[in-house]
Amino acid sequence: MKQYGNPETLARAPEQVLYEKDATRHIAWITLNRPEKHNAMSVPMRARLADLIHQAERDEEVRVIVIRGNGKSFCSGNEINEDWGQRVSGQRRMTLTTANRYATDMNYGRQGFSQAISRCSKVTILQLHGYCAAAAYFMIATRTDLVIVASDAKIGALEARFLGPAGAVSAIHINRIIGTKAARRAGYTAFPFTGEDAHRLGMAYQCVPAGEIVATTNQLAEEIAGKPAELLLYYKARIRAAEALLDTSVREITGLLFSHFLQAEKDEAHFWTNVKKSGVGGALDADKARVAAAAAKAGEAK
Amino acid sequence: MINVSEANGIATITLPDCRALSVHDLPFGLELRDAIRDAADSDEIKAIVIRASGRDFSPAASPEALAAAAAARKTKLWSTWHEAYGASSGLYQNICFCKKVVITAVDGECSGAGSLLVLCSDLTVATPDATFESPFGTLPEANLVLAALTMRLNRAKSWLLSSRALTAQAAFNAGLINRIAEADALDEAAQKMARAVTRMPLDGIAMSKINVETCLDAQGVGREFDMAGFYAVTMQRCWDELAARSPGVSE
Repeated sequence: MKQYGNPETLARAPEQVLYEKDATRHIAWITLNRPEKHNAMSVPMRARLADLIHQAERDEEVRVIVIRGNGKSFCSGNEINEDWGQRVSGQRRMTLTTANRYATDMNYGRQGFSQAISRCSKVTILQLHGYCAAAAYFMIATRTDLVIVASDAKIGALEARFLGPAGAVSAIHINRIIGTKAARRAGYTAFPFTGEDAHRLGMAYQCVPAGEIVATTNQLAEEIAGKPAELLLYYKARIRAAEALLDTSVREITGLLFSHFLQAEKDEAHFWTNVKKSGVGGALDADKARVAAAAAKAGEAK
Repeated sequence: MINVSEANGIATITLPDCRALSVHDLPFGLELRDAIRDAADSDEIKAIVIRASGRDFSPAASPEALAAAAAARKTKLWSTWHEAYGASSGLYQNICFCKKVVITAVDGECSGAGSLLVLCSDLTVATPDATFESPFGTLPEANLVLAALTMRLNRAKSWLLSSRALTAQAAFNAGLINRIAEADALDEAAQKMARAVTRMPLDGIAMSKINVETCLDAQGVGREFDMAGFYAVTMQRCWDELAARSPGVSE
């Protein structure tokens, strides 16, 4: 299968998604390691994440997989400022075929990393701290079996401001896990919710102070990995069957698919120009300044 | 073992036959899956034809081979067997939910995995001599919902329960296959269908296949695939009992 990305992102993916295993404790850790970008996932990073999940599934020594991130945040979502091979010279916008490849194979579909997690035959635990935004929220945090969250985490569809609430509102998992009102609040307002909120809404199994998250996650992973492997495989088979009957296994790609065809308003076009120049953080800062200036101008006019 | 040729928007995948799939040969299943995925991912390809170089598309596996396959499956059910045959990333879901149009060309005996490939593909051309045996007796990953949607519910049930193979004409009448062509015209008939597909815009095919996946999932095809491992456990009990009763057919 062709690997998408550019030479740099392809080369860096192995060091940006790390894999460790403790055969004695039957635990594997998949660690996002791009802290300078809050672990934003490039296309090759997502492909590697899926590959590592499959590797852990085949490994009879692994019973529990912990997913976590290095640095200040678990993950800020998919890298949006990336050339992964989608750009064709002379084409004004992405073709449906290319958008479908992105939505299906790289994200939501049966080959995508999110279904690699939700359909995994081993128990998955997310260790969530800092920001957990966009794809990290609706393609990882709502897909893992158990979530241990730091109380000061910031979780949600923070990308909705500039992408629209593409997958965040309609993703079946989110609606089943936090409820339809909460899913819509997160998607349509782009306001983050905290670790305490995630626990109250039913997404997180446990909410702990940030300083305790590693110990708490390890304790839970060890407790579960201490159970017989066959019993855990049976539990996971039951969970997968139930999720299939609930239809949480179907792909929910339309939001992401059609987000590639959004027409940008003039101000939003500026936003995208700024994303290319200074990244999402810089573009958000510039946007705040623009909105504040517009408000001040409106005040003067009155 | 698998040959792939690409020309004019069509990927033609040639297998010796489907016996290796019927006994759950893991490397063979993954090799075919990867060939399908690569063709589906190529912007140069709009249609994929699956054909066999042997006389029979999918000869029946022997009871001994099926018993050995069941025994091998037992310890790998939720890991490597699942990956190759049961999972969403496995062979059959890659065909059933393929991003391109998949056409099967069938001559002679078609049992086990061959029948499941026919069910999972979009279009099928077969020779007048082709016979179609139900895959449900030997393959836990076979999809009864897909069969019911393809042949209608009662026909699918009787196919499963009676163990009687369908003639090409009966399969055509039931809606399992689209066209009957003489053996010496089979490949050309499949390629002609594929050429008709390639005249359509690539994005049009992509849009339609997205909708087909939604249509199939809405009717439970995905849910049925997800149950494959459970059916395998139940099937294992049958094989264990058969082995106990027939010393010649054992692990």
